Amino acid sequence: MGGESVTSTPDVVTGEALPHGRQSSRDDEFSSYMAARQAALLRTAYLLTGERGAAEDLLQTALAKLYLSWDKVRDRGALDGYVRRIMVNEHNSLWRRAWKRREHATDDLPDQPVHDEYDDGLGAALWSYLQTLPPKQRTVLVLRYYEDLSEAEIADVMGISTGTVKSQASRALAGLRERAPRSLDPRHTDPPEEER
Amino acid sequence: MTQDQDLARRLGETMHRHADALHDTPLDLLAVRGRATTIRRRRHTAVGLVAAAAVAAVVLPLSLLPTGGGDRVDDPQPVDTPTPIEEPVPLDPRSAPAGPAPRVPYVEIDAKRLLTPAGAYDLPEAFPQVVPYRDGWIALTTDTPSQTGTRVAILDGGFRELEGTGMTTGIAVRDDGERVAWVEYTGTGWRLVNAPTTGGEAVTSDVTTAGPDAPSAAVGFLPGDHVVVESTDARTSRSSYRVVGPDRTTTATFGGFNHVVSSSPVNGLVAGQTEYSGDGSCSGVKDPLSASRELVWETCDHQLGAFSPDGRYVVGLAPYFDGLGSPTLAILDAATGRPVVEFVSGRSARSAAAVGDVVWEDPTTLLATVTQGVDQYVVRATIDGRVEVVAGPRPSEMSVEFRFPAHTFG
Repeated sequence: MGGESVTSTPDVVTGEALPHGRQSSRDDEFSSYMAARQAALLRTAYLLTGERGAAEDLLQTALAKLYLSWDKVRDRGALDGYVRRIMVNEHNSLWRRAWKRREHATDDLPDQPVHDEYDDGLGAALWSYLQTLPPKQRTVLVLRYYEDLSEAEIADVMGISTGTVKSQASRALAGLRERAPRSLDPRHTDPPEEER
Repeated sequence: MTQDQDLARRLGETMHRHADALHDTPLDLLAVRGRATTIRRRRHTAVGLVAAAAVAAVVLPLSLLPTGGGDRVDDPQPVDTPTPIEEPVPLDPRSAPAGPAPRVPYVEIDAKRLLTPAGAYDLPEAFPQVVPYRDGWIALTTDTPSQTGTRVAILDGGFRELEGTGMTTGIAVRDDGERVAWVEYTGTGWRLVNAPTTGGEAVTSDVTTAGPDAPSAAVGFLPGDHVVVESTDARTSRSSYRVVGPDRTTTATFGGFNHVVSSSPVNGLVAGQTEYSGDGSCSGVKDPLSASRELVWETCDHQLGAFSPDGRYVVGLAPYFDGLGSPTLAILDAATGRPVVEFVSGRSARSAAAVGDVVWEDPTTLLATVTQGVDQYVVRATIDGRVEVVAGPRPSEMSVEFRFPAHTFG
């Protein structure tokens, strides 16, 4: 009889043959992480991009980069931060957006609109204004007011100074305030009935 | 609760209402592995532009790094205050190790190819400048005879021209790529165009009524979307400068420079040459919006280039050099002018290297086109004194083989 059979498959990370067991272990770990965190990461991607299809595409790229770096990331507790950082950098890169425009011309992703269960007018208006913000301002707002990151954490994720985080947030809020309907602008909130 | 806090609270609630409706997990391992394979191949293609013999030794380790290969910096490190390196660092591309592909775009002039962190594009011509703009691109094109030799063209995603402008001298691109400015000749004078690249209205401002023999140019951006504009007197050939705001008003005028080379949208400083002696020069930095407008510092040891994206450093070149390029390349403290690190060419005919175009790859890393002998390279030079070859060598006989397309031309 022959000796022990050793199977190998081409490794996605290096392109070289890798013992099946080692790749399988990595894939199992990665799959577990995906199963646990994918929905939450997709929500962040959706807020960054404003489109379901673009969000999936952004998340797919970020997870692929995490997959390529999986063996190098020793602090498993920092995985979300690592993926978030990739998504932010990917989304804010003008060069990548240009590349995506070209790719999407031949590879359109089907859009699956998200059902907005809440819309009394105010939410829809704010959501609409959020879509018009420049990517970096929008990113700061998402990280600050959805992810609840501190200014220092946002600065770390975006690779900018905390001063720039403050100025981007301030400019974004000022822009929202200027373009918001009068009813959304706290400076113009009408006094309660009993105070009139 | 302040007004902004209330607005922020409402905004947070809105984001939660929209995003929290998403509970599905559309991606499986197969899809992620497929995208990973594409990225890995793209990284190898980009790194493959480096000399093949050197690549064999480094390509696999680099492709494994989170920031390696053709990627943008995914893991930016906080910038600490570096300790200046006292001894000059040899600038010798021929013996330098190969490094990962550039994380900023560059153009291969001969091949008419634009290489970006995301992928490569074939260009209809080797545009001196080309950057993403709205749904396509904006480029400086040389395909028309004019006194400046160049004009701006708005292109679609396939690099087909949608809209052209009058003659211009170059496009100023803000470090984040989200704003561009140029000055174009209208037939009756020169007009500044200050435009966001991601959509929105461009702001135009008349600069001078001078003729085409007295061109104006956009030098760069200052904080608040202000633009530094250079105007040239046709009779004296002297340059004057003004700062034009997004509201079309001129907020400051200043002089004291033979030529302003750069400005920073972060620290608000401009850098330029203050004196030229024929075989040397002095350069300085000033804040054009300050009350005194005095030079913050001046040096006769370096000519100056671009400020780093965080405004902490500024490029230093030799105080005098011929058309081939500078024999030295330095990173200077933008607040004092003191060198933090200086890369110096060898003096022999074989080792002599000349620096051409220089851009910042990140707040502490430079990329430069360097000619050595009959070869041209793209070289990475870091604040901690490392030199790597990231593209080339390409045969060069006093010709430009590589160019950074976001860097102001001329």
